[in-house]
Amino acid sequence: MNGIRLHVWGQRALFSRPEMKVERVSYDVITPSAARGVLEAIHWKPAMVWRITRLRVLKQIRFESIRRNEIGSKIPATKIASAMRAGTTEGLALHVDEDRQQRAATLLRDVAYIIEARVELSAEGRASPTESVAKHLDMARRRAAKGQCFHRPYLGSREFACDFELLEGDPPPPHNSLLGDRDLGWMALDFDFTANAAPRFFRAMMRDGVIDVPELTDPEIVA
Amino acid sequence: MTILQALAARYERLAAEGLAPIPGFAPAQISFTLVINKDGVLVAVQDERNGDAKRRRPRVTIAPQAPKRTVGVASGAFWDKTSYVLGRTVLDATVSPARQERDADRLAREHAAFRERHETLLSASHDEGCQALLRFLQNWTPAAYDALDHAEAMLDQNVAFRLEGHASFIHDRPAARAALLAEAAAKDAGASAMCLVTGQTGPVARLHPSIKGVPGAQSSGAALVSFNLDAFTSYGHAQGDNAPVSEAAAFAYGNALNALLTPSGTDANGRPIYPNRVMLGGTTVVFWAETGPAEALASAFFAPIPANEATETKLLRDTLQQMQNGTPLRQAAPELDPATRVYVLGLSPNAARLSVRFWVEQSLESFTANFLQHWDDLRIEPMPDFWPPPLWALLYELAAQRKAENVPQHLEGEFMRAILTGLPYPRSLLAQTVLRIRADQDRQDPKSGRTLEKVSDLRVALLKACLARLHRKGLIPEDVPVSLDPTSLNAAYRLGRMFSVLERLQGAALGQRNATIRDRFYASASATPAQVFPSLLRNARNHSKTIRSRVGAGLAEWFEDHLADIASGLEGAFPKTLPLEEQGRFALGYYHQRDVFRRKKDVPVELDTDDSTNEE
Repeated sequence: MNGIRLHVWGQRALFSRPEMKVERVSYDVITPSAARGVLEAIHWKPAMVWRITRLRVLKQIRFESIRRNEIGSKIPATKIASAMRAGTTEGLALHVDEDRQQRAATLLRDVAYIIEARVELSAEGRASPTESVAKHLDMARRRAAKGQCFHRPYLGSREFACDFELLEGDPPPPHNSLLGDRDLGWMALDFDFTANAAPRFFRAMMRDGVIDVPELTDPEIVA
Repeated sequence: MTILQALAARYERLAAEGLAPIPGFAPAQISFTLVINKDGVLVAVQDERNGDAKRRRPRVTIAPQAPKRTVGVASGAFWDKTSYVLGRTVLDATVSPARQERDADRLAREHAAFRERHETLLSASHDEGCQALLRFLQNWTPAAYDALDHAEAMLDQNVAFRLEGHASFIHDRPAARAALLAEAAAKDAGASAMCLVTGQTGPVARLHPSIKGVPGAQSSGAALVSFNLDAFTSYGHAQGDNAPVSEAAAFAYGNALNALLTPSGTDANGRPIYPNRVMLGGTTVVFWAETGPAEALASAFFAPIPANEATETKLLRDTLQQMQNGTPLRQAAPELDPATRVYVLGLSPNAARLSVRFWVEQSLESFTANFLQHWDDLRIEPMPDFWPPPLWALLYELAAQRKAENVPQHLEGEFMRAILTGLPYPRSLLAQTVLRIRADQDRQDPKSGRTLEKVSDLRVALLKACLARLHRKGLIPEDVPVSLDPTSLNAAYRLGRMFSVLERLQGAALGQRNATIRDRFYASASATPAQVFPSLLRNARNHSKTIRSRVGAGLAEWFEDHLADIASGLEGAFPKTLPLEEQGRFALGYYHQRDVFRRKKDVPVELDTDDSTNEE
């Protein structure tokens, strides 16, 4: 087999829409870039790149709303740089209680997905003769089967950790509410890191809970 | 479909019907008009406001879009407030001289900005209206302001211009529009990128439109999409680049949302009518559908029409009544396509931003089915006064003192989501209702004179709805009765019934009391029956003796039989505590039994003589 099928599930998930990023609203389903994040948590080397081919949604899409207190500013990188030059952290602080911002989030509840992906060698990987797709796939499968990961995979946002297992055999059928065709609109595909982290979008069509993910360089996805 | 996409689609639909404003123009509130003749001389000042002397509202008209003003000086075109147009504003004389100087300086800059903008806009125009405006601005000095009519009333209001002898504003003239379009095209448009709403490449909107009309947000408008602070940006992008939405799509969704939030007129009492908006406590619920008739039906579900409305709404009310009686949508309203999409968006203000509480998009069929299921779950006998109960009435029952500001904020959104999707009600709904029943006491409503009860009909309906839905989803084994069920063996239900009988017994024995056992013991009886009921039953024996001597043996025996009948269904000892769902059943039993006494049908005649005027 030339790909990996991973079953991930969690209590909560937040795949923030770029336009509703401040008062967060989640996409209805997992985004390919979030799926890539899950796989990279399990296994990743600079020689390889994960390409998501298909996403399967298993459970009914349910939303929930929460509010959290966060902060409004970032410490600028230049401030840190000057602190490093000065050799002291004097004045380098972010007082959270002066900077409170309450942000609401509409997130997904009780999610389960099956991520189907394949491995491609990156430019660095292609340059080296010892690297191969099969080697990385095997490593990933072994790690997924054992439950090994570099850091705990998460569903969209770091605080929503997920569980994972390697899927053997047939994928389970989706929930009744997911049957039929559903147009999920323009969904974030991934960032094109070769083009200055430009976002790419694709038209997500869910058929019986299955979303086929196009290639990043597919002419279909436009710009 | 996504939120922005659905709103943009609505704009397209309105634009196709000619009801949408054109790009670059938006509704503006104009208070005064300066009438100038073609030489640029000010001829008259007209007051555009309508309304009586007490509340003068400015006239809303379509005018060039105002620039999104933050702290900088940004002039509008063809209209603005008097500080920009005429160089005069209310200057605060009580502040320090340095501050006064700064204010005066800013005023001068604002007026200069207005002049400059028009000089660049209109210098090439040959239209007489535009030339007149230009001449007026060139010859105007702020000192000449005091000689105008309405000088004091006009300060800091929006003013527009009109050419003498014409009925329309100068900004309505084709030449003015052409000048604005040319200016917009010449402006350095933002970088092109793929729009995530339409999928097409186009200039990216830097600042998204302000949404006015969401109560609780800033009066200058809040933004649905905004990145106004550092922590909200990513990858070094600034403002709108964080979420590439083309200018056209941003204009479309902003206009659509603003249009949905504006009132369409006033009703008989002078209150504005909102055809697409419902307020649920602090959350603004906006809804729309793909077609007009479907939208009207959806609005009938959100805001049930009172019985005494005009005839065109009568048809809707009949359709609603038919559907409540079980007729499917296809039969009740055959002219509507059941697959029409209905969109419901819940917005909540957060200072300068709007947060989305819920977004549900479904077919008309499932929308109506979910609402009807909600009303069906709420159904209890005896029915509450107003059926079907409006959403706000249900939420008020959850608020301390039934005040709008005390409605638990989080609950509104989750409650609405549960209704629209058919999922179980939030658990906090059950908890909050039980809490309110325990904490409240009977109160007289000062306005209507009605008694607002502790165990009110809508509260019990909410409890019943929560339990009924949990049962239907298979999360609890036992169903919940709609009307009095004497055969039910559920301990909590029977205890609730017993409590009601004991309360009536006390009332019959001791006459009208200021504090019945309901006021004193309801909370502990429903939470820890084993501690309270033994002493209540002991007192009941004494009350029974009193009744025997005062009224007669018949009534006393009736009470005793009744108590024995209820107690016979209780197996074993009283439960030590009742969990939340059981406390709900307790309230339900109390409510059903209390109605038996109120209907007076099955109770002895002697009970009428002490007819409790402490219960209404």
